[in-house]
Amino acid sequence: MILALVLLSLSFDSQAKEPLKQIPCFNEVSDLQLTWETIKGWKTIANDVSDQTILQSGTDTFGVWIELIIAKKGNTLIRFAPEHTEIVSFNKKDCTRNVRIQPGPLAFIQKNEQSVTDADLNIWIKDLDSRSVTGLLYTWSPHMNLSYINLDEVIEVAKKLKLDLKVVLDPRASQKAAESVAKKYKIPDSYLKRARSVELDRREIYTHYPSYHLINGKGWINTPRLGYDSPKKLIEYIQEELKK
Amino acid sequence: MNLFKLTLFYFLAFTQTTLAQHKAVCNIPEPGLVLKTNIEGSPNYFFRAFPDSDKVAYNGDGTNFVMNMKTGEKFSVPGSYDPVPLFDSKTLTTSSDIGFYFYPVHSNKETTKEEVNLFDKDLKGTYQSVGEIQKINSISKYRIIVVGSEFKQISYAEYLADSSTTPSRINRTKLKNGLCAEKDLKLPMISKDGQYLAARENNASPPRTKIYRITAEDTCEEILDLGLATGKVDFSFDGRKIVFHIDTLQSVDYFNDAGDSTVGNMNVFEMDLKSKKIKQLTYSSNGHSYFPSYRRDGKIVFIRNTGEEDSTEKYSFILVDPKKIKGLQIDEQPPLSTELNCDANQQKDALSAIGQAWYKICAKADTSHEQGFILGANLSREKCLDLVQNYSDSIQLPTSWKLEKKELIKLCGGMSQAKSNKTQPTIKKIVSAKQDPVSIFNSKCAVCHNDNEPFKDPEALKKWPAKLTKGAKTWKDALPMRLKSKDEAFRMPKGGELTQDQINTLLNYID
Repeated sequence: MILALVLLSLSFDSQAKEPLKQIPCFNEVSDLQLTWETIKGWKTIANDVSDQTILQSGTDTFGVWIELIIAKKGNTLIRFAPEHTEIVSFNKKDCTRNVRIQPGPLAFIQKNEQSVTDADLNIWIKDLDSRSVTGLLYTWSPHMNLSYINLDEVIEVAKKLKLDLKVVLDPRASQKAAESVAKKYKIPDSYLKRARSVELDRREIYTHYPSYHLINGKGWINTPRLGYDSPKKLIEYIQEELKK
Repeated sequence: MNLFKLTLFYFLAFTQTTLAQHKAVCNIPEPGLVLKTNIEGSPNYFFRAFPDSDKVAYNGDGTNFVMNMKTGEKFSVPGSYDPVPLFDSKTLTTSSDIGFYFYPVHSNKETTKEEVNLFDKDLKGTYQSVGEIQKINSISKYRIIVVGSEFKQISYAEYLADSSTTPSRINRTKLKNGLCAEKDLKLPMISKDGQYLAARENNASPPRTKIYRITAEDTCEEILDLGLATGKVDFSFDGRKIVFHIDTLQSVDYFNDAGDSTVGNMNVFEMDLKSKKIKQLTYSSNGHSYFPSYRRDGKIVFIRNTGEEDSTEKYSFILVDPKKIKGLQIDEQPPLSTELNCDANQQKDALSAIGQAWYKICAKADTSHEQGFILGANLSREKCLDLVQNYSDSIQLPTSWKLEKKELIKLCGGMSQAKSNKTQPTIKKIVSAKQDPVSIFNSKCAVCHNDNEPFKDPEALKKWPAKLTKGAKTWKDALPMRLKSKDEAFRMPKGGELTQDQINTLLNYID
């Protein structure tokens, strides 16, 4: 346990601005986090526009992310998972916990809808690993036209660079609009599956389409890239990312 | 066949009734609403508002349109990518694979391809945005940026446009490829004066939206890190504010106090660039809101997708006045009924159950007891009645204590008529800074203090015995100790913190 705490604080110290050890209820926060998952490493995701520092980390479990909100009023640890989100606030005075459970981030997508879940992505990653292939995950929306008018270009780029292409739909898109666009632009039915993934949600990609994600058997390769890229630009970008 | 028709009729009637009931309960007034116009067909989310009129330029089902939000009239303009108006409102720009077009805008007819003002084959790219760097009488100098086809390339061109002629006379004066080439920027948007850029810094990990000053050398000097990854940003015409859409899930907890997230809704936020304060302008139960766009008067238009597939109101342009949106205002005074034979705590439980039911039905999610109470206490009388009458099965009261439906109706009936037209349920709790002392006592103290403390009579309250405060005999002694204490276990009220203004108000009241 002590080793774990040291590792956790080192991880924090090396990547965030405030040392985790100094936050109230450090031991309680650490204990809970360790019972949840092994984190990959905290990254500060917001600290400039609020009085709080927010750190997040992916975990060893694909589709599970942990977030730590350090605030004056007390600290909160959040576990995002496909089925539900667990929010635990620590009382600053006595470190007691207040636990709340909410539906998962994409609970608004009906389970019977065609979707691409974290489990599906995990299977895909294992498949990529077994074939030693890199994957290109592409997201589109019928409400952002550059994401579908030029879908052919992405297919061509993937072929040219020998990338395994997976295309997923905006989880909030109108089904009718998606079907209508798919018919007009001859988009295959398999590209109409909605993203229902905590991983993608935590990568903050749902604000704009298209987005491009490179992935291999070890996990994500690039930071999420949002916004249309011409084929030339996309090829240059991917080649640069794969060299890193 | 007749039986089939009859069954179909009743099915449709039932469906319509159910939808109407749901709407009556769940729809809440749009904060700061000025104008709302429904959009036919399936629009592209990225659109732009005209600076000085009720017109918007958008792409719907592959065609560019200019629509008058007030009349609903719309006329097509050539081009199939997102159209953006110049500030004279007489000209519309649209990008394409082969170059950049300027078309005149008519108020009463469509524009044809032959009417093109200027075609600039040298400016190629997508995602254009427009700034006006100089204006002398009818002549404006515009700077237009596009995302070019090369890696890390943003291009810009400058044009002189004379709006004294019809159509405007437009000439290019400068073309530059490689603006801010030292950075990998995505979704760039230029400020209205053409001097700043908001973009997503793709090399940051995780990527964030930042504001940059464009230098004389065409590099980008970072001046603000929003600390967030937002949708496309729009600058206000006075350069003091920005607006953007962002997933509520990733934002609300960070800026507000209560900590409950809505589930997966896109909302619009405005940020004051000087104070860095962020104000939420839209709320989740109204649907997803995207791509807010400023007008010169500071009002904002955004596009809304309600998600109601077959509704004529599925997509709409919504014009709001952010000055009239005061943030989240909650009346924390529980509308307790005098007709019910139960104490304040029980009524609070009932209101919480009503609020939780509302959230479950309208936001399709669970919420806490405390948030449920805030929601329940702030439902209008009509919505409360609608909820109790049509969704009583969803209201789950504590098992130890049950109210009949007719008593819940009485509870809703206890809500003031005045409340019915003004309040909106929201998920956040904000303590309003200015309240009269009796309201503060009623909302903050009466829920626990059930000894008929004379909150309305300051003289009587001063002498009221303080039973549980060591070292104090009366409320006059106890109140300052309790309100000012740094010990959270001792400090009052238990149900939430008071602002300093509220503490002063209460202390002055019994002084």
